[in-house]
Amino acid sequence: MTDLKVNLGGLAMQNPVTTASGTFGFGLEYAPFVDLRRLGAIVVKGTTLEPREGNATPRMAETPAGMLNAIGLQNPGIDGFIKQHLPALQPLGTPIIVNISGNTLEEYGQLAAMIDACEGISAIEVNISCPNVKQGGIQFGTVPTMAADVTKMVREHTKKPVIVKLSPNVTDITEMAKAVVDVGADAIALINTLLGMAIDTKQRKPQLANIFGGLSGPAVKPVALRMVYQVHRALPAVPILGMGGITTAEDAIEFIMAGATAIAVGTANFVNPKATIDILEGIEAFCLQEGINTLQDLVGAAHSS
Amino acid sequence: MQPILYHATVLEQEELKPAIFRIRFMAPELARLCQPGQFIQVRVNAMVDPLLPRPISIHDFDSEAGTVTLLYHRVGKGTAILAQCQPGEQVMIWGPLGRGWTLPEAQDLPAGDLLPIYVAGGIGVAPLLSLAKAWSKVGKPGILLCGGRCEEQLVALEEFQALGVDVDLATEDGSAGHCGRVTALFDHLPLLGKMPLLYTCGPKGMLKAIHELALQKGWPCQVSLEERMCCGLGACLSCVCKREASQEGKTWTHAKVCTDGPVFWSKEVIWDD
Repeated sequence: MTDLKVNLGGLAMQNPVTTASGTFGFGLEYAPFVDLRRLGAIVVKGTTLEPREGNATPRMAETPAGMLNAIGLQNPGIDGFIKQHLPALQPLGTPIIVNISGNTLEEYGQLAAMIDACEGISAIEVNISCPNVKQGGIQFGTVPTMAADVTKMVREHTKKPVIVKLSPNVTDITEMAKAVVDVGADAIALINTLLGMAIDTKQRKPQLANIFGGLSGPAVKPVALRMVYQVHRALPAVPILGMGGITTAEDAIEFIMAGATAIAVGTANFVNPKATIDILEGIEAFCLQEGINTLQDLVGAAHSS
Repeated sequence: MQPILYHATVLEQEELKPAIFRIRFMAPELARLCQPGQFIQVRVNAMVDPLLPRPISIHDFDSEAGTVTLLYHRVGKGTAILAQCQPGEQVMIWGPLGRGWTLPEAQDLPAGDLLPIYVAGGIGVAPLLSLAKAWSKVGKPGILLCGGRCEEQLVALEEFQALGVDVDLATEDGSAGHCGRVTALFDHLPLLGKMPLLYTCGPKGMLKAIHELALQKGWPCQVSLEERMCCGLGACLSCVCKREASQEGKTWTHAKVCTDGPVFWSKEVIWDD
């Protein structure tokens, strides 16, 4: 039996399979299909200081081998999450990672402090790259100094592992990664969605009410894989949570070989509600077949040749 | 009730009218869980394009025979692939999902002698059949008002008639029934002193018109909404609608069409666009 345990910047996980924020709700939505205790961790829906109602509809458009979304961070607020959703997740024993977004630096600090004080949350994923909200969001994620400021603010307010989720909508992803690691990020999550759009030709208008949205799904996988590879090459000691179009165990193993310590399943959850478990079992089968004793040995394997 | 995932065998597939199909699956465990007005997710192929499953209303289910039947309109890539499925093939489906219609036995309906009226626009007739079955069982089969652009859009009428439902039609081109919109059919309804209870599914403009009529008459009305859907499980928040709220400082919130609905009381929905 392969040892699948990994450590993501101080977060111990029984296996590398987790969920991409926004695609898995608060976890229990998938309980009919997935034994949530088997997951390495659960990353919940992006959370903000105050409750948000999000964008107008349509919020989603299907594209070839992918989809665009512009939800706009609809969520019950951090208080709402802690009171209404977290208690039901606790008995699972699965590490819970909360994804946070702020409009201002101060909000990031407040969110980090609240999570730091909350025993049931294992780590923070800092969303500096949501393409779908007007304030903050994307700017924090595309200017290295601003990304560093957000990370520093979160770092100052928590001792829990800080995972910074980067936007792929930049010229040099390694520059962003270095900027946030320098000020205390424990791990890097990549990638968030790629900014895109679709047009309804009959109505002559954008398909999304928000005009632009984030592209995800198999269509983005080669881009995501390339960025994971680049960041691992530039910062080999920094753990990466890799994601972007992972649909099969083969995809997940590619990300691990490119340098990801853990992987997140996102859009694939919509295509197959038990995708996380199918991918986990596929990783186990691959390791058995290849005679791999410790999964950790595979991390970055594609770099050695 | 927990939904289940199924590799269901196609029992039959028929094109009832041009581009309107009926497909029946063998899915015994799923059929036993179904409630009128719910839907299932159908993954039309194992490839990644089209990527997402298709959410489709349950037209009929038979817990004894173990079958689930859908009606669907072939409108795009996904439904075109589904339309190619032959009996014997397996299709990945999961459900039942969502909250369906308020049924006769529900306690929160007004007292008195109720008259269920189903108002369908085109393929919107699909989720109303199993509801009519439930009302028929308690001796109140009700009335179906069915509208469409033309006769070729009207399907499943004989299934309602077999339940004892009175069927009245309206088409915009006059090729069947009244020439005009389905709302005009309300002018000559034989209410016989009964309290109408409206159930409606179809294009949004029609739903809004029915809602306004119900409001004006003081009749209770439920609508089955359609929104671009993704997970169908209440996780992704793609398919939302504005619903009245009375929380502090808020007059509305975004409800999830997939899990808070697809059926809503029409007066809860904010019909501003």
